[in-house]
Amino acid sequence: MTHVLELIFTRPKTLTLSLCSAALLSLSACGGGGSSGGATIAPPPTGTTISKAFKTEQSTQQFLTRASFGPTQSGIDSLMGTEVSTWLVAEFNKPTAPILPTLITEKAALPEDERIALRRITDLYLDNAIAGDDQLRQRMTLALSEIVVVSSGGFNSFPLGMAYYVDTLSENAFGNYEDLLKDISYSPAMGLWLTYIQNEKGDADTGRVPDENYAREILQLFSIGLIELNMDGTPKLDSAGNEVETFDNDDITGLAKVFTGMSVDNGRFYNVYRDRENWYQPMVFYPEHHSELEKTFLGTTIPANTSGPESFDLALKQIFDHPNLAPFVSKQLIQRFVTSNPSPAYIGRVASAFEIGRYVLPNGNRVGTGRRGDLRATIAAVLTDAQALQDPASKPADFGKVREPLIRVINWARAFNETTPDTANEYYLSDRNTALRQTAFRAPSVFNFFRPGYIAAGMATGDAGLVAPELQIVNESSAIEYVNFINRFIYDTSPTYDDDDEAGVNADYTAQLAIADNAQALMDNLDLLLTGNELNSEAKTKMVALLETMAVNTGTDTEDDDRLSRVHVAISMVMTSPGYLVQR
Amino acid sequence: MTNRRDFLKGSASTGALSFLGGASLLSALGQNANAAQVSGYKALVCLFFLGGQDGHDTVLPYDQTSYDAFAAARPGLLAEYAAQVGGSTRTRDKLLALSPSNSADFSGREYALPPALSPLKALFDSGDAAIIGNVGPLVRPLKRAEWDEGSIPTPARLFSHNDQQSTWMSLEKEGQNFGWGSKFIDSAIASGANQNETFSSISLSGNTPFLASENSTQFGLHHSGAPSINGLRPNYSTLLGTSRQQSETTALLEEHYKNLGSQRANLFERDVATINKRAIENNAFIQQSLDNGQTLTTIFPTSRLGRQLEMIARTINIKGSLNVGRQVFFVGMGGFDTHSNQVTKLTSLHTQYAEAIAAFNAAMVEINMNDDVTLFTSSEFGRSFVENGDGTDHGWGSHHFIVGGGVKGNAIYGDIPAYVKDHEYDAGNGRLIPQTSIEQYAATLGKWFGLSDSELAAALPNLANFTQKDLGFMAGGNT
Repeated sequence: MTHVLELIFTRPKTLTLSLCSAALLSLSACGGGGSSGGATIAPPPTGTTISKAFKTEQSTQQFLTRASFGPTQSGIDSLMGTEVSTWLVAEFNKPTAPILPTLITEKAALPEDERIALRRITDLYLDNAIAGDDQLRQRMTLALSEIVVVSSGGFNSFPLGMAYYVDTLSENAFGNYEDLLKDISYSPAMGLWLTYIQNEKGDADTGRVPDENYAREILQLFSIGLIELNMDGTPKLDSAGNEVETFDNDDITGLAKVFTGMSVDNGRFYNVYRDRENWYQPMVFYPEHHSELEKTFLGTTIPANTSGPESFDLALKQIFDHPNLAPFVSKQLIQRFVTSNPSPAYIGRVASAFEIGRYVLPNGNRVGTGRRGDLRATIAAVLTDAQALQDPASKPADFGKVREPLIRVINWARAFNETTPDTANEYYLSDRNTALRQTAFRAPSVFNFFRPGYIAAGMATGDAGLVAPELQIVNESSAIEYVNFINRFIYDTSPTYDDDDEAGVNADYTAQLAIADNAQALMDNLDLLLTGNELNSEAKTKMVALLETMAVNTGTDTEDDDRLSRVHVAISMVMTSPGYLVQR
Repeated sequence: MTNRRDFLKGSASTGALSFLGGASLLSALGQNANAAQVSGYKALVCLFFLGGQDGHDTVLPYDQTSYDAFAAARPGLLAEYAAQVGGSTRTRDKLLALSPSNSADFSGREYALPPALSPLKALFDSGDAAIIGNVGPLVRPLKRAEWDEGSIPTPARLFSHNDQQSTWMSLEKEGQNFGWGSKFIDSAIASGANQNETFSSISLSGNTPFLASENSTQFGLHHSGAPSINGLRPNYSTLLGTSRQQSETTALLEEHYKNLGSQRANLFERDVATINKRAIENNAFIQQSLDNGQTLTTIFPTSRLGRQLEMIARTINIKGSLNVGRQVFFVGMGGFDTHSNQVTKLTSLHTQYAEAIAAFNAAMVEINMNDDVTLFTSSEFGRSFVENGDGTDHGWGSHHFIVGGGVKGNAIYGDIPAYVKDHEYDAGNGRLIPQTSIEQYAATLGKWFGLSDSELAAALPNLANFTQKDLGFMAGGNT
């Protein structure tokens, strides 16, 4: 610890001194005191200063809040003073933790006619999110699942298909967005969710036309959006000052023909009603059901009699090459990880990384393959941008985002060192529980739990012209239901299926109990661990004052319970306060 | 809002009665043509079908010619209906034929409802329900030729779910929008309708643009009631563990949850603090009023919508405790985006909402509020008349229901185009160009609600582009 701190405080100074001494040679003008020590201290090996990300406890906490499911004290301690670029590259290189193989094994152990319960997907995912080592990939999986939405709501019959979808997101999390679009479009789960599995070509005799659902949503929600964008995410305007719509319904009817003739790969277009291995393989085209007509959309025409796979590739290329793609995807990723209202310049910088497929990390090394749509480059740009890493004191009043309710719960488990979570045992973490208004992979519609463009009209953010996606699910009911939900976990009253005290997801409050006698120390600990020292100082003073009214009767038989009461109340207050509910 | 209530209390206690409710007195006497008429009690209930209900498969053709045209256009769907257990619900003999009082207006065309809507058919027959045909968002009247030419402005982002939801609710694409529901209630509030403004606009389905307002706040109510923080009260706070019986600590903890005291710089923090505070201050009050309210004997279905409409009925029943004279409610019902499997999905949805609406109507009759409460349906769009095999795609205009004792029922308002393609209100594949604007639909409801012509004009910016400002389906309105 001491060693790490030393590193932090000395390294920037070292850099200044050596730069200054170098400058002296040519300009003979440097601030006083620079000339004596500069030459004797070696410059840092990478040639740059440590990125601001891991500079202080506070900055480390805040970076990990964005890039993981929440910091742990040991994470803060071990990363502070190290190079964020190294951490990012390590995250990129960690293997995936797929869900499907486990479920296939579990399914094999069941009688032939029994299915895996859908909640097994969220159980395994939450276990990974809480205790998995591949934190950035897990966060990215959730973020992608909220952009290219498939909801498990309709998947009772096809749990393995849904698991395959989640794994597809996870596997592509640090890949390329074009590959991601291709893989999800071939995924049976997406086919079922957006109804183009078994989509028939048109029939002039009966008047039947292809289902338009996927054609519309892949454009509107997954790739280019509704209006033409500049690279910085601002709308392009026509000569009259109006927004320009990216497509009309003729584009949709044209593109809809592409997504005809697809079904699971079992040789029978119409027979999909079995959760067999073809549900966790890409769909295939059945030529006799694929439209042989000309397909015109977005300014391109695929000639008549082009095969399904060929049409698909041409269509995907046309969509992917649209200039909107970089700003459209980049802005939403920034919104999922950092702030609801990134500046155009920030969006432009991330979009540029997406566009060129490369990004220069703070240590000067490059990430990305150089191929447009590279998600390593993109997420690295999101997380290490100057706007993301600005000093807390200089953050404007419109910076930040409401924390997603699900992430709050995982924050708690991680902050209090749950390393062996058993989500399956927790009644309240079932995928059917609606108290949080958010369950992983179970959005109410393809429009996610909340819209990236949601404006809380009439409220402070709305009046300031800000979007506030997560506020869409905050109202008088859900705000209180969250308090009750998180309190059940904080106070260890959440019901588990097993009687065992250790069952389920539990906290270890050892570190907090050790300092519980000192209310100020306890609050300082939690403020750093949970909010990155962003609690409103007046509110924090009140929390300390409240804790101080709760006596710790040292030497009596209630003293342990007294301390535990203080710790419970302190955590509950922090996790229900605006300073925590908003990530900055 | 608290200020107004305190002010009124204060004026009453000091005997300043001449000031009390001055605006509402004036409007009750009809002396202020520019202010809403807010005597008595009235409520609007917006039931929104999320996903886009297929109007063609909801209000069906009945005369043989129209039926045959419909059957010819939808062979795939009718085959699927025929394959259902119990046989098709779409053969002509199974349809519930309507006998509207204005049947002469439709050039021999006759209409019917599907069997799953039979509770709604009964309300139509008894005069408590009406149908509005082919209604949707318009800037100004429009026909096929003008649509093809692009010569007349049309609403932005047609066929997009979220934007058309927003357009139906607030007459604008998704954004910082204020809904016409909230504009109606704000006019009523400005005329002194509600001594307590907190419960003026209530959503059972989360935050909605329909009730978003510059001047008032929508209250989020769950169909199971308004939750309070467990373990905080009464008597002592179990949340405090070994300090549970310390009243000072309990009070401080309550204050924490209300988030009082600190002005926050960050705008998101300010908003979450506002919502927390509103919840703590109001949930317990409304829940206690609900608990003390008279129990309804009407049995509601146990569906989600049934429970939501039951909660609205219970809330209307405690209007006295809530101190309100005008209310607007919103409830959304999902599942209508029937690109696929329409036959099973839509039949189930029809059954659910018809049963829930019928129960709601019975409850209003039970508590003698039927004439003062109007439920109306809406949806972001109708669907294509052309089918895609087992479903239909995004459309535009559609047919809707208005239910309540104040409705001039057993009639079809507006028009329902022939069940064929390529007529003058077909925007392509039988996506109907609306013949009646949402704003005409809203204006008719708003007039009944008590708004003045100038308030309606302010709330409904394109209303001026339409000749008929009152469609005549509400009692007391024009025809």
